[in-house]
Amino acid sequence: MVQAQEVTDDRLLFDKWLSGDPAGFSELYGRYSSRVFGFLLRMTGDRDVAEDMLQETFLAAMRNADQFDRSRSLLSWLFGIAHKRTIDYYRHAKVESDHAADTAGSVGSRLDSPEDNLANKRLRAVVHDAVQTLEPSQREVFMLRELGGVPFKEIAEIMGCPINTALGRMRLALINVRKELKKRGIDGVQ
Amino acid sequence: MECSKFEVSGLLYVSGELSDSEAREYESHLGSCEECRAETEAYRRERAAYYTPEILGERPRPEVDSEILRVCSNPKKAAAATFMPMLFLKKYAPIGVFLMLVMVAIGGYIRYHSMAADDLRAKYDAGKSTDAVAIERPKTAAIGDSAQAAAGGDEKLALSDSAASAGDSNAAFSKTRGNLDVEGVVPVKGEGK
Ligand SMILES: [Zn+2]
Repeated sequence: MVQAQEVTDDRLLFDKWLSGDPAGFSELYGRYSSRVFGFLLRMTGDRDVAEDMLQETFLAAMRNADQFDRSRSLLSWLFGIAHKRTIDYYRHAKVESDHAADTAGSVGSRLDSPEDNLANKRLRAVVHDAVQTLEPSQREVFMLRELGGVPFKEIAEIMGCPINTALGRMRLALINVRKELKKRGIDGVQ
Repeated sequence: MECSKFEVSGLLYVSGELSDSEAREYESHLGSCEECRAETEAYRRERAAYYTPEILGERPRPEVDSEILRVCSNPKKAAAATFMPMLFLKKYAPIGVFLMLVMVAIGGYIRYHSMAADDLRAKYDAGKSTDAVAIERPKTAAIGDSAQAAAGGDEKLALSDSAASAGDSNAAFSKTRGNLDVEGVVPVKGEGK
């Protein structure tokens, strides 16, 4: 399976980097930074804050390299660390309610790749807007699962809730995103 | 109307988290439950089309990328390294730039006046015409001493301009004081305020 292959590669790159080869890190960073950053941006709604958190996430991962459970995926682990950053952020800044109102406007979307044609850009913007309407706990489960590829079992651990709660939030997230996409002119996939 | 199986088994099935026997059980349920079949298929299609890293991922600014690569690439260095906080920089960099401009302006102002004094002294030394000196004279008088000081010769003039009022008549010494003020003392004071 592709996923299993990726996990093995991650471990090799991780070891390469730990042994002092910078190429190991830059490859892992290239592979996962846009996913981690996408998560942080959706959760905070603030690009500057998310950029600081991205730095903190990778620095924390590096400093706690010995805590990485090699039976799990590196990306899940990174998302777990990123999740902790967002919790600290909400705890200290207490900005959740303020942000709920203005996130949709301030987040925007920027993934500048050459193949980002107009249709793709529009699709990205529409999906982002739809995801941004989700209630934060639904949005978090959704992003952990879909962008982080974190299994539900681990999402429940990360969020400190029973797995059925995580599944319930995901189910609601899927229904709500679908509804919001429909409102924006995307009605299912054939 | 609503089958509850998709919410648990269906999501875990698509996520690949069911054991072989659980997966088999859910698949046989799909054969008999139209609702779960539709839900499972719709979710799979949505994942493939919309919930991808290309659609949901985001890029930070390139300078953030390079900062992270700089700090994290070497695991030995990284343990002690610190990041430049981007938010902090963005917030406070304009204030820093403003302070620097103020310092440069103050430094420039002082240097200009000390140079003007040197200039004036040089003109006296060379015994230039009184017309040329007359332009400079009021400025010197305004800084400190009376206009007669100018007539008293180069030593006194240099003293009054650089405000080195210790009573030293050595022009070279006062000039050094003037330079010190420009490069050290005054800008630091300016920054403190
Ligand atoms: Zn069913």
